[in-house]
Amino acid sequence: MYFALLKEFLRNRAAAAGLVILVLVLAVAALGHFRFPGDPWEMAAAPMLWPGEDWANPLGTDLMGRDIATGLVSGARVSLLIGLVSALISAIIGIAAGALGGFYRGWIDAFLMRVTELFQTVPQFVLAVVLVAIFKPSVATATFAIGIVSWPPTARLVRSEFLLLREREFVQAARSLGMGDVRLIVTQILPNALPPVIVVGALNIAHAIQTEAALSFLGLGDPNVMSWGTIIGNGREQVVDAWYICGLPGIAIVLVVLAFNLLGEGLNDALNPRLAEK
Amino acid sequence: MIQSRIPVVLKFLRRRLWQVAPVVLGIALLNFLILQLAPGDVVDVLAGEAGAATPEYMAQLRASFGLDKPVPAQLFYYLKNTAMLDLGFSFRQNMPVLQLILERLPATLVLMVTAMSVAAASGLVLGVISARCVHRAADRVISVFVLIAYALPTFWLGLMAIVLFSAKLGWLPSSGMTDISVELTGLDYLLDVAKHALLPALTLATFYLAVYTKLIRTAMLEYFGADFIRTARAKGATEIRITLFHALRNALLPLMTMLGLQLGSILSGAVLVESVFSWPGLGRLAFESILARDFNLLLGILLFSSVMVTVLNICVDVVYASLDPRIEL
Repeated sequence: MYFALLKEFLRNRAAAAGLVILVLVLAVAALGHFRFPGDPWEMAAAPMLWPGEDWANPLGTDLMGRDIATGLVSGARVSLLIGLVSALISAIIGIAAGALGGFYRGWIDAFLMRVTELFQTVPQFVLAVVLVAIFKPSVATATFAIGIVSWPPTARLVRSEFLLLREREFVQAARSLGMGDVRLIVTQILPNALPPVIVVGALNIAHAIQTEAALSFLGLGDPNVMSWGTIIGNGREQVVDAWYICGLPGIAIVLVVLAFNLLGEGLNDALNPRLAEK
Repeated sequence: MIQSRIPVVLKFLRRRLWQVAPVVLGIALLNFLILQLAPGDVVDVLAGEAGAATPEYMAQLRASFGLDKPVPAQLFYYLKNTAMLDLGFSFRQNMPVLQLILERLPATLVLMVTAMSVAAASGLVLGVISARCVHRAADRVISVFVLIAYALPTFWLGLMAIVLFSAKLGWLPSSGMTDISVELTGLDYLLDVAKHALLPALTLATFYLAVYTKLIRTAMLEYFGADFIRTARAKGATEIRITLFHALRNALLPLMTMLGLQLGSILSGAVLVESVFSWPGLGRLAFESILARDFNLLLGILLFSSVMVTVLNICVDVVYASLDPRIEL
């Protein structure tokens, strides 16, 4: 079944392109360190070298003489790490809230929906900024903040799936066999509710990577970790004289976000083949 | 007929404005929770880094939060202050938080409304073109544009726009809301603001333009197969009339829904765009308060912007009802 799904997925050229970009970025994150060793914060050459000017620093250096290629490799790791983990956090909160509300309904559902609505009303990025600023900027706070502000769509989705699935025959059969609530939720309903959640998850990763970059751009990045947003934030004062300092990490962000978006859409089409034919 | 709807709208507004209260309460609770969980005393957090505030100010703050009292009492003080719209005092800017926010609000509203109008109008045009030419060249070009626009980080797009349009081409100013070197009045002033607003508004609009294009395309394609369109065709209505009056009018409804859902995200985008273009609005204020570690101001902005999202949502509902007579206010 998984093989068929994979084949369906790869038939979609856009999704396959997304996968290729993603594999390349993963390779850069995992292996880039061998080609560009050294500390991304350390002065490596003369400041403001343009890309191609000196092949020791193929992508140039920033205002402080820090090598941009080394920074990009470090940024790839940070972006992927924060993107994946915060999307996971957001999925866990969203699934928990949606499953409880959709399964038990009643006051639990009413309460959880109020909380969900509240989190949807608050401007998400502003809340993330407040959380990171108050709890001191670091990779951990950024990850948690992004996870905490981005769960409501998942919760709504899971809730609506649960509301439908809990009435289905197979669930009632399992219930009449004496299955407890927890087992019903985890082993019966959840696996059937997951496909759309996975699609939203892929899109969440893309959004989380953008949010992380925006936070570091505003100066709310981890002060010890060089991320793409940090490089752009540091280079913005010189953007007119040396646009490549901001330009290159931005292109990296666009590529990764594009890859996850394509992947999400490809998964959506593969999991809902009837929709794709339209 | 329009006149007969006015009392209905007023009644609706009165009912909906009451729904703002729970939102304020919820955000206030959230803010309080954040402050309680934050490292250090509430006052330490609010006053920013140690040494920035005078001891008198800190003592005054501690008294106003009732920090000598148990947590429920502190919560009561916090909620009471918030309910009376007392958002506290910004030590760094030497002004009450509410006054600071209200001063910056108009600039943000100008930016948001301009960006949204541009996004909705261009999204409509591109979406209709895309749906009419489905799977043909124009549709493919628009789809690629949408894909890329989805992935562009707003702040980066703004920076690149400055490089191209301000620095290289010299067409548009790169920062501020007005030209501070000259005193302008009347029409000249408006033109000057429009010139300054163009780049930030287009930057903010790009992402939503992509969202709306895709939305309108999907909705139009769905409606082209619907029964009421077939009826219109059978009646002999022209394709232009069918596209613009039958399909598009219905496709406007999901657009409005989406717009209402995205108000918070637009405001978030405004924070980034304003800090790139030094646009003197709420977002720029948020950026300044991050730099100055002025958390009281930051929490005030969070509260106020959430309230603004709720109020704007009510406006969206009124427009929605005027587009779709089936909806009761």
